[in-house]
Parts: sequence; structure tokens; C-alpha cells
Amino acid sequence: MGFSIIDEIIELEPGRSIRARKTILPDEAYFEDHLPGFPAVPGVLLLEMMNQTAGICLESEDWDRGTPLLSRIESANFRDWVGPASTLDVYAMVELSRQNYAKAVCRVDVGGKRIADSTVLFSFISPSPIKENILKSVYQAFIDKNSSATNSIR
Amino acid sequence: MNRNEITNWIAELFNESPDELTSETQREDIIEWDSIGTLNLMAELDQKFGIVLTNDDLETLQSVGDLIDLLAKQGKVSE
Repeated sequence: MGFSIIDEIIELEPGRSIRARKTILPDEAYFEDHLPGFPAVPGVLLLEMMNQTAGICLESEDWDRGTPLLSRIESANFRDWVGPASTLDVYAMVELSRQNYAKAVCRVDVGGKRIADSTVLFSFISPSPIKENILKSVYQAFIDKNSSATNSIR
Repeated sequence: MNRNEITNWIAELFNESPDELTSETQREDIIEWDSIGTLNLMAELDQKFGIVLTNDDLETLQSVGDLIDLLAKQGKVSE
């Protein structure tokens, strides 16, 4: 299983807000035992979707401060189950963005209903030891569809 | 916020009991005042008080008293 778990960026205001989408397939491997007889997307994956979405938003900003790394989960709430074949809208709003840190408020909706939300704190690692952003292709696809956006993700 | 309220805020930030904190309490005696705690402190000072710490500021913050003094210098502590 790869760990790039966002399918598509729908809307993006670099450094400020983002909406992304993830479709849960009917036969995701983790449904085999999460949970037996009651397939549900693990909460950690919902949280990671929010983190990755917020990370894209921060990295898309034209600001050479390194790679955002999740440093603190201030809060996380899981309000309902997400089952197979669900389409998730993942939102992140950047509340605070500085040279060394950033804070984002995130949420996951299914069919307009809030399923999960979180507030997370990122630090930035520079120079980044990461060879290539795993979400670059997702970001590039958004850029290709929205020619007015600038390609600043590293 | 007065000094008492500031001390309570610092205690909550670092998950300590306010009764255990004094101005003399050193950074190394607060378990959660580590690198992540410092990052959280920076974000909270920014959001709550509009204070953006510099690296020089960070080096001067070695105790609860230093933190209260910083807030006082910025006019954030009422008597």
C-alpha cells in the first residue's frame, strides 16, 4: 500500500485553504480486518488524509522554508464511520503560517456531513532530506487543470 | 491577563499543575517544554498574543519567569 492517499485536489488557495478528494474503493485491503464484519476506514487514515491535504496547501505556497512535517496533533475527532465506496471531501484551512511553523484546521466530509476534524501543527525541515514529494503528481494534475495556478510545490 | 492567569496558561500549555509552577521553575524541569513544546509555545504566543518569537528570544526563555517577563515586556501582563 502506498501512502499517498489523496486522489485529487479540487480547490486550492496556496498557503490558505484547500479541498481535496479521496474515493474509498469497495475492496481496500484494510477492510479485511478493519473491522471484521464491519468494514470501516481506520481513523489514522482519515487523520493522514487531513495532514497530507494541509501539507499540500502549505507546500504550494511560494515560500522556500522546507518541507512541512506533522509535529503535533492538537485535536482530532472522529464523528462517524466511513465505509467502502465512499467519496471523501478533505478540507484544510491554514490558521497560522510562519517561517518555522504552521497550524491548520482540517475536516473530512462525506456527502456534506462532517465525519472527522483535526487541528494540527507543522514544523518545517530545511534542507529537506525528502527526495520527492509523494503528492507531487496529485498537485501537478491540479496545476495541469488550472493553468492560472503556479507550480511551486517542491 | 494577570500573572496568575499567565501562570495558569503556561501550566495548561505544558500539561503541568499551576501549583507546581513558580517563576523560578526552569525549562528543563518541565517535561513537555521540549522541542515540540517550544513549537507549540511559539504557535500559541503567536495566535493568542500576537507575539512572533525570534531565535534570540527562544534562547532567553529558560524559565517560567523568563516567559512571564517576555509577555510583560510586550504589555500582555496586567497587574
